[in-house]
Amino acid sequence: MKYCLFLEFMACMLCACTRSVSTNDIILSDENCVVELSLSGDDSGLIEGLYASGSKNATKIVLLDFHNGKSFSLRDFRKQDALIRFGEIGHGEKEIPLGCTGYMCDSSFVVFSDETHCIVTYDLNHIDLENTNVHRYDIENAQFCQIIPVDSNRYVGMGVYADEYQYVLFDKNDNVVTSAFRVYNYNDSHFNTFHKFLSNQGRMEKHPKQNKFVAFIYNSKNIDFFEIANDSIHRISSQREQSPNYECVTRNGLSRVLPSDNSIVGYIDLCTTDDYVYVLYSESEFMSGTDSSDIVLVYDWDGELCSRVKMPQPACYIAALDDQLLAVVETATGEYILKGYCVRNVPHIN
Amino acid sequence: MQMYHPTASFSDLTVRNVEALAQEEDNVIDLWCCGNTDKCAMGEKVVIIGKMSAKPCK
Repeated sequence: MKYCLFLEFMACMLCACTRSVSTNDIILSDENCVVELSLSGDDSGLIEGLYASGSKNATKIVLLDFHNGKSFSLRDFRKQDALIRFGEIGHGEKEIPLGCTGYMCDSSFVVFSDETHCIVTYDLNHIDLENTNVHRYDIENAQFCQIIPVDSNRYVGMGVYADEYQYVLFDKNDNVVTSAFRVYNYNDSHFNTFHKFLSNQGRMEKHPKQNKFVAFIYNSKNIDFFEIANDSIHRISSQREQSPNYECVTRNGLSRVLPSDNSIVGYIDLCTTDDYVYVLYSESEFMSGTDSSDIVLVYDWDGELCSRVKMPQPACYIAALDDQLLAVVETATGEYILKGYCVRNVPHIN
Repeated sequence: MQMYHPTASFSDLTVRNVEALAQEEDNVIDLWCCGNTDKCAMGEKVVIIGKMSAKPCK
């Protein structure tokens, strides 16, 4: 007990020592790293996603690390070994295709597949088939890259709907309640239906307690903050600072969007807490091959940029637990390490 | 009889064609579809899964 209190005290001291260069920049050093553990072991594979609930006192994280026929591992972020692996790959009733992404709230993890049109909810306290819920959806003219539950009866999907809209609110009976926010290229005739979806893929996250959402599209500096209330999607803030720059190609019936010379990496990953939205961001050119960054932009839920966090090492994925920013770092030898940086007292831009 | 001279220069037209070909080859960009998430290419019957990358997959 005394040892735990001592560790807590040391963590608080390290948080207090976070170096702030200006009112809006936080330079983190290895001294701010309060958790560090290896994620490379016999029971893990290529890491392609990191999820946490952003809640206070939460300790569980989920990794998308396909291995041994299962997509995910549930872990305690302070411990090396996985608690359990879940997400059986397949096309059975409670199975998911390979490569599904998810969304984590307090005690459940929601995965969706736009190929099999299923939304699978795992109870993280009791992961087994009995506690796994499957909902089938079929929304006409919609292609989704992410789906997040709004409440017990509704979901919000990100992607392209009717060749025009980025977000769709739909219910469990497949009724489209509303759609909102035109995609950046909705009226560009160079983009067919497939091109539009390919160019508007990205990531979306939800406020841990409220029906507020934030989403970005890849290879861009376009980010939306919105709220769902009274069957409507209300815009909080839309920042379309740099749209993707793609060339549309269709050959042999296969459509692709190819990044142009001046395309940027842009937003890479994001995570949320009650107070802030953390977005992993790189200004590097796409052609540089960069897939990680040491810069995290911190926004409040009004969409105001509060600060820039510079981590000591580039991260591939990020997640937030209360006042800790978790980062998956890949070493030069290809080993994955999870680092937990203390980011208490985020300063606001004046 | 005219002898073939090994050091004879190419005609201007040939040089221009070779330069154009080299220029074209210089403009070829390699891209990779990596990983199991997101979509790289789509058609009516085929979807290629992966994130487009300008460097080889891990």
